Amino acid sequence: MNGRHALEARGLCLTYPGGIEALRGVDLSVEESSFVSIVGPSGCGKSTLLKAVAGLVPITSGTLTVGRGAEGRSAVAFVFQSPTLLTWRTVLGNVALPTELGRRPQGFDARRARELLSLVGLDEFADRFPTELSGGMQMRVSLARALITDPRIMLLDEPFGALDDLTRQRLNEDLHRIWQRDRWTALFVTHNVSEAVYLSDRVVVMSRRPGRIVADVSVNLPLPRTPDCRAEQAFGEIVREIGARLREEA
Amino acid sequence: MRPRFAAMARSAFPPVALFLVFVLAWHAATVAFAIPAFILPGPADVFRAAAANAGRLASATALTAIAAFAGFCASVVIGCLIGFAFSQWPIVRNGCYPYAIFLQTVPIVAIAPLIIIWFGTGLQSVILVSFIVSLFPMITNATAGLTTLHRDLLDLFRLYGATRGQVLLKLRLPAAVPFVIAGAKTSSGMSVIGAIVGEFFAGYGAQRYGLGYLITLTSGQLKTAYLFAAVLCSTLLGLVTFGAVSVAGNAILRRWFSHQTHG
Repeated sequence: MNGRHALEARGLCLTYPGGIEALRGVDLSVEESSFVSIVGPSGCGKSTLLKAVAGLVPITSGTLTVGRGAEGRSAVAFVFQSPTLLTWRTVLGNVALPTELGRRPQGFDARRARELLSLVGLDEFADRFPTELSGGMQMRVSLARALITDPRIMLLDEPFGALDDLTRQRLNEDLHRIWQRDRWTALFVTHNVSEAVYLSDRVVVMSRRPGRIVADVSVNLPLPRTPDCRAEQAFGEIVREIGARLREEA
Repeated sequence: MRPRFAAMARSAFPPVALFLVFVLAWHAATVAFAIPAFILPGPADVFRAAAANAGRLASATALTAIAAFAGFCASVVIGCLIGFAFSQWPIVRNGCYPYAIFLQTVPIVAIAPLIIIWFGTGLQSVILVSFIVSLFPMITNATAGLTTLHRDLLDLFRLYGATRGQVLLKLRLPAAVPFVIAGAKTSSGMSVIGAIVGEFFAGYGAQRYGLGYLITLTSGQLKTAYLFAAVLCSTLLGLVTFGAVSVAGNAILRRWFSHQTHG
């Protein structure tokens, strides 16, 4: 594997035990520190691809190479569609959860959890319970939890799909800011083309099931992206281009 | 606190009003149709009987409450343990579940005499009957709670290499708590029924008796007003037990699972 690639899939096929063929021949290389979004029709296997990268579902054939985490860093973190928080733990306890898991857990790291909570703008909510928080705030907690192991690759499976547009944009801006700071590699699944363009270096389009990659669009907009860049002409053109490719598949 | 109290008062009004209407209609019926008191005593007769036998009723209610509470506690503990075994070892569940259903379907009135034969009369037999009657909802709820799939949460735990023990301690056991509470609510009411049924067959000896025995005794002597008072005490005991478990359970749910406080 090329050293600059954080992950590489070649001819990746995945059929579920029930016989559903989710992915057929996915070729995808993701450069270290880049932000790649995946868009595609509903049920095209986007989430499956993410779960395969996370090692949560086994691949059927082809190759999938995922860069290891450096010493003291985990390889991947996953942000799910729903916040998946434990309601009986405080916000702080939820963020620190990954530090308590595994054969040799590093131990509850409250200091780091607090740092991450302030990074996502929730310093004052550390001792609250998740159900006291709005959907957008819960997603921020989920994001902070994913960051606590200092992952090399962040896998985000439509994390903002359930949020209203304004909240989604705010979270996009925060996610972008954190990515600019930490530069982990991101694989981001979404239905929202504008969100994909705003966040990404590249946007790949997947076909209908069984999924494969049918378009790979570079987003050549200057970094860091400002909230206003969404109104620029170049932004709109890229969104239209991807939207057109997506309609061909849907 | 004040608005909550007002809301409670508002929600309590309809059942209280209905109760008063019912008592008045009952009284009117006994007077209008001149029904003999040994068939249907009026509310005033019942009240007089209750006042005259207040001491006995109170001690009987207390004894039944002790038996029901002990049976309920045993159900909660043993039901959770069985539910845990069922959730961890499918072979145990497959092998034992049909016999657990037996607990639910067997007419307790039919096996209560057997229990007396095996364990003698006295508190232990009454507790045992109460336990048998209230065990099943605890088993099913604890099992359901521990085997419910939390797909994304399980994926999250797997992603971080959680051990089986960590999944159990940090995910499955706490996630099962709302189920266990739901089971305890059902079970609490049934434990009172079980204790009273147990007392139909087993006394405590030495002139001490619970509501079940009092009910058989008064019905045999056609002291119908007294019987009504005993039934009323049974009902109140059931309500108080269920209410106490509900209040405690809802407090836990509100604190840690605030999305599921209904019921």
